[in-house]
Amino acid sequence: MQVTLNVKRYDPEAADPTACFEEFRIEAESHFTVLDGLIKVREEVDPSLAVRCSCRASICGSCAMRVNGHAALACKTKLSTSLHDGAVSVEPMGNQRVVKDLVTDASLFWGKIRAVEPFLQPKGPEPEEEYIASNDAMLNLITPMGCIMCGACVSDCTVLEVDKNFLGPAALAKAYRFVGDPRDEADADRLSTLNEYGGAWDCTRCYECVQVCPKGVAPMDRIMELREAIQRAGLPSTIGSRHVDSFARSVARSGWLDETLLAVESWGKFNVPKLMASAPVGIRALVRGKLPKGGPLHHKRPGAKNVERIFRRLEHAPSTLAAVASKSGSAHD
Amino acid sequence: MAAAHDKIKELKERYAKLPVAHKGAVYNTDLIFHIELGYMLDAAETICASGLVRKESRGAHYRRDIPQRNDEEWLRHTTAVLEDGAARIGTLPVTITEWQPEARVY
Repeated sequence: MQVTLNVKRYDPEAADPTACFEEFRIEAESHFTVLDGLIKVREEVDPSLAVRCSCRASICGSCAMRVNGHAALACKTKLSTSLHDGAVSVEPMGNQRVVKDLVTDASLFWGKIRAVEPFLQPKGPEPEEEYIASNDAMLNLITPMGCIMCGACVSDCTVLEVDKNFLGPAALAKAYRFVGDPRDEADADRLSTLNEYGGAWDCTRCYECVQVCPKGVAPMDRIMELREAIQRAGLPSTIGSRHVDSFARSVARSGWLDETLLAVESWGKFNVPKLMASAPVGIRALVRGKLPKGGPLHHKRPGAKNVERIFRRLEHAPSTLAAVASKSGSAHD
Repeated sequence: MAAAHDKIKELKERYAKLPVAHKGAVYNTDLIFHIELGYMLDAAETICASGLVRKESRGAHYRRDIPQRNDEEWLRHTTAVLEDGAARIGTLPVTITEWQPEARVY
């Protein structure tokens, strides 16, 4: 079949190094992946096309790029199902510096991975043989361990788009992999770092990383589990954790969200500068009759009792990381 | 194997005249593949030339004309040195430590 690849080209050495799309028409087999198409272009049409790839079997993580606007492994994406009117658009990953054409600089990615100290930190005397972990304890870590460091999640992270200080989905999933490891005993330090600016609370839960991850790591779900672990560890509250708590309290109490109280409690009741700063918004909303009745004026929804019952149930539901909370006591048994 | 050896020789001659189409200095895979091809041809020649010299069968090196292993003459390492653009094959003695050589039978 005849297909068109719209490839975003960028050559830093060109007289005019502005990135722009170039159209390549090739004859593709029905089994072709997007990567097969790009390799065909490189081999038969334009040898200057820069593509990074190695295994062609979605395990090396080299060929992550944006296909039709979303990050994917080019070798795991079928060309035939990616076509719109016979064409597919291929761009380099986002949030990272483009080196040339579809090749991006991985230093931002690795910097963030390094920042979470991605290695086992056990305490106490070294065992004579290896550190033992039970199968059950490791089952929970299979998903984050499936990460192949392709950078797809980092590419499409909407928080990184606006704040490069965010650790990002891949590094946070990696952090979870060690927080959840029964042999690792650096949890207190790890969680307290993750509780800071740029850590687990900065995710906006947009789900993009879960959608684009080619290995089912579901980084955002791991970030949510880290938040749980942070709260269970009793670390100082943050805007993020207060938001979660206030949200849950409000729904449990009244069956729906008290938005006014949510804002106040998230900033912190005594955070005068922040409250002052958001006062004009509140006043404008009040004048236009759009300020939800908060605090004592927030009324209970009919059926709030049922919601409360759900919350009581959940309090006793087992948590994935529940084992972690007690691991320091059981690791050496 | 002799035919393959001749073919590799021919390919090396063609390779010497092969141009690099893309002249860029940044992430130039055309140039990388060009360099790699040269090394692959060297490796292929080494495999072929040493296989021709080794008159026995041993492990993955299997010759239909000599299917037997010959420890007396060939319990030796093969060395290859690039000399005047071709592989010169030699041998070195094997130092046997813990593992005694024995026939691998399945």
